[in-house]
Amino acid sequence: VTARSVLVVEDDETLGRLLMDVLSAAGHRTRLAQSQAQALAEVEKEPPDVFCLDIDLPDGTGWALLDELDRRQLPVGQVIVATAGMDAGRSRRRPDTYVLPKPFPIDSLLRLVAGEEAPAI
Amino acid sequence: VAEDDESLGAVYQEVLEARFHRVKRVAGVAETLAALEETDVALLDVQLLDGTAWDVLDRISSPHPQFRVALVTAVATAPPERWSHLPLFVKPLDRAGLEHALDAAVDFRTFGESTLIPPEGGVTGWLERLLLADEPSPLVSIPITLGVLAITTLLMYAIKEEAFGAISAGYTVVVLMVAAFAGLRVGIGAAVLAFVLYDYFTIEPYFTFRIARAELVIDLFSFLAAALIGAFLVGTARRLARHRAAEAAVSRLRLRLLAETMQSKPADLVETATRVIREELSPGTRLELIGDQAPPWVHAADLSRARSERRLVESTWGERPVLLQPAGSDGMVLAASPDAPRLGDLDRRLLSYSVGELGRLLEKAELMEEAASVERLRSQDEAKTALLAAVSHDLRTPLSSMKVAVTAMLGDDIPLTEEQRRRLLETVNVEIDRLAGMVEHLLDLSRLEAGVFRLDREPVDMAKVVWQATDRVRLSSGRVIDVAADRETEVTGDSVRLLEVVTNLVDNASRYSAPATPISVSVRSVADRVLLTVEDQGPGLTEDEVAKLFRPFIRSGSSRGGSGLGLAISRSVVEALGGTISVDSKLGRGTRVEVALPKRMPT
Repeated sequence: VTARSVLVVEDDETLGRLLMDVLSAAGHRTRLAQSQAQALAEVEKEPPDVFCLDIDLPDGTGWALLDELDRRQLPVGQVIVATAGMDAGRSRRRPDTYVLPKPFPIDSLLRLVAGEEAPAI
Repeated sequence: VAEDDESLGAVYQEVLEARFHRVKRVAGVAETLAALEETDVALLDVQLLDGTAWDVLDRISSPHPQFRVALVTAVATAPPERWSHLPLFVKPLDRAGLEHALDAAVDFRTFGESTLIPPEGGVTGWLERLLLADEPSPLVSIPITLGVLAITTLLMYAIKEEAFGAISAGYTVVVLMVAAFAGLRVGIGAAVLAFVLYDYFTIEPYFTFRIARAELVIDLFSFLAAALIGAFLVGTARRLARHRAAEAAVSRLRLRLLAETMQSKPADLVETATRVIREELSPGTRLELIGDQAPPWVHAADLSRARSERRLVESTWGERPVLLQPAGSDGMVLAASPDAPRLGDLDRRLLSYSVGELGRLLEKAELMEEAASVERLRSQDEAKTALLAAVSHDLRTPLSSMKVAVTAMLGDDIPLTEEQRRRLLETVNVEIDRLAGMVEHLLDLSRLEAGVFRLDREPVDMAKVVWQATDRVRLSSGRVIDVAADRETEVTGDSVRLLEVVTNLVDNASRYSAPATPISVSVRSVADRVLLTVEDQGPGLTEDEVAKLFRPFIRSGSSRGGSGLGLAISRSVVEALGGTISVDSKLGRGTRVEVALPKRMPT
């Protein structure tokens, strides 16, 4: 498995920490952002290879974050959207975006992060 | 319609066109000025695209005489003094409000002129009142007229030799006064009678209708012509003045009704309107809304006629006239009766307008009530849908954590240490509790909504509750919490639930403020209430966030393990105990939650 840099954007503290733990245990480099603002700051520091993105953020949606990144011309790379809502339609607007409906098994996420074939949605 | 907001302007246009008005929409000052050329009524938004309505009004030099203005503003600021007489309406205007604005524009005359002529004082005033008084009944006015003419004739007979020239003028004055006092018809009658008396008693040969000298024929017929023309002019002036007075009285009532019922809720709309109408009608006027029980002064037959024909019916009770106006649904009828044996045309106009308008308002109030209940149902339905969406979303988050943790342990592609495994299991355990708590809260919420939530009613000392709650949060969060407690803070309520409420509030304060900042809790005894406040120095909330605070599942900022239900339940508990809960928050300063509960009175 190639180690990749993953930015986990998740406002639920428990789930965020858990994803960090599991992804780093799987050998990836991980960072956690709990809001749009924190995520933007992290990307400014160093753009990640993969976004693991929650949609329902306290200061806006994950989609808005992606729009903002585009506006600032920051590299977005691969995006994995983990959502509890029905956001699947939005992903068609962007290539390289996958939607994981919550709750998801960790291997779906790991496969996506590793750049393997996307699971069927 | 001058309105810079495109969509709002379109709504105005739609509403006005539905009332068959021709509408031109403009947005800027210059555009408005150009459009005013062919405008009867201008509905001006105070804030226009490139200036204000005042700019428009100041630049109109000579409006055509029918021109009217009403102003609509989003901000309730006072207009400049020179335009303060114009009707001003504050947004948001609903459909009825918009129609009121139009009506007011049509009723008010702009540019300082008023339709309501102020009453004159002194002799002019007395004459005006004479002109505006009800025409006396012919049974009164004819004998008086005959008496006055008899006395005049006696006088004229006495002076006919010495001052013949004064006779014509004397009779003319009497005829004009009769016309002014008793109206056109009696005035004409008096003119003709005076002509006969003049000839018979004061023109030689006396006591005959013959006239000896030719020039006196001219004299006599000149008098007849003058008296008839005079009587006609005075009588007509009287009729017009009275008509105008009636219209002015109706206008006045209409404007007062508009102004005073505009902000009324459906529940007190009719009451307010009735009060205004009573104030405007002459004292002693009876006004009653009849449901099943008719008062003795209303004929049952006429009442059922008004009900079946759905129109104003004129009835009587003994000498008194009675107006019956069907109003609202359920066969309600408004009955009005003046405190006078006759209904003068002025009173008739005002009274029939009053019952008509009150009837319309009754119907409007019924419709508003109906609309409100539909609205309530709709918003309940919306809340249910929102709750369902929030529930599915919020339950999925702990489920996600559990799924991730469990699948990480089940799979063999992640090398996990023993320590990592233990942490994953701990996470699952915590998330199970969180889910269980959410379900418990959800049940509480649905019990509260269904009204089957049981609350004990026992004496509870809020100071004790505060100590317990703050101890709990101190233990779990390690935060510094200042507590100030008065004596005599006993309320009636459920000690377990109140402890939950206070713990929830203090817990929220600790979750959403920096660990180093203090939290203060106070419980005070103020008059007949016990006031509990919880204050933090956290980031504070916007007004929008405060508004959402008590809605189930809406959390402020990032989730920190709460269920998102605590405040919704807390409010329901506090309100069920007859108390209130309010939030005061300033961005960057912190948040202060206050709970007021009725104090337990020593029996």
